[in-house]
Amino acid sequence: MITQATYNQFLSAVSLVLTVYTVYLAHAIYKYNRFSKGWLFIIAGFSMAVVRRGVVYLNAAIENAETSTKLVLLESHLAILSIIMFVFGFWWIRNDFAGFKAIAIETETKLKRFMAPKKRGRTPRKKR
Amino acid sequence: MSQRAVHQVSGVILHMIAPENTMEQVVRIVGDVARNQRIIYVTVNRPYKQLIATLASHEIDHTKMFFIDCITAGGHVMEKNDPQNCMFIDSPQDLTGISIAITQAIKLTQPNVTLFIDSIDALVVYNDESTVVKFCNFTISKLRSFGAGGVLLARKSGKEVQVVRDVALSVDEVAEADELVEEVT
Repeated sequence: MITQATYNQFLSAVSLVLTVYTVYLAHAIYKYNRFSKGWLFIIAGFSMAVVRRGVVYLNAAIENAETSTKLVLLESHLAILSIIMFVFGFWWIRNDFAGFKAIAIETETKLKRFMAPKKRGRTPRKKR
Repeated sequence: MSQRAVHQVSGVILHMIAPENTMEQVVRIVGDVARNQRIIYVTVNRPYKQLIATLASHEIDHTKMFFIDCITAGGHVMEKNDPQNCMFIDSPQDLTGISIAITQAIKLTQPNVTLFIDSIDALVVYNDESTVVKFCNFTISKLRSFGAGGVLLARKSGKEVQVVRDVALSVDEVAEADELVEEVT
């Protein structure tokens, strides 16, 4: 029969594997658009999440209370660090998209003025 | 290369330029096309101001050209006295930004427009070769979908970089600047 502890370990292992796959996917997305350095923070955030999952997995296997407390503290730190990475990364990516929109609008504005027929100045009539 | 293709660019041409007097060759090509068509000029080599000064010194009317300048100092902000025929992009690495500007420019100036990219090897200095190939293929597809012409400039160095060889497979024609100069004169 599957115990609660075994089931928890199984979930932790699945979660660990999926997070590693997420790191791989984030890296693949970054390779498509290297300009957006924000993806590097997302990759770092997910990498920290992998370490955090590892710590959780390890903690479930450890019975020493003192070590377990330290691991819980480490897990909390890793959680907050990965969230900071995500926030900074997505903020950066959002700024990139805002920049793209600005380029589109500025190009359109300039082109409309550029394409508009130029007003020709009238040559003043000579006085008789 | 046919005389017609020199004056009226209808497809996408990869122009191989000799490493000597590159500006002279570019000016001749641009001046020839500018007689009949509007030009969108993407510059990765020379800043806008220097480019228009050179064109003006060769008596080429640059007021009918729209420039996309990727090298004038980054972080450029739109000002009131900004030139109306130039869009400044922060960096040659911002290929997405360049693509957006190109797409807008072709969309709003078509038909009878030719896109110049000066040059592919300059883009390789700032980006991965594979990224530049993807960018060029995307731009070529864009030009074809809008029915616009394109001239991609690349330096003839003897042993051409892989990017130029890859791009050559996607264009309609590969031309040597020497041939062009002979035909034009």
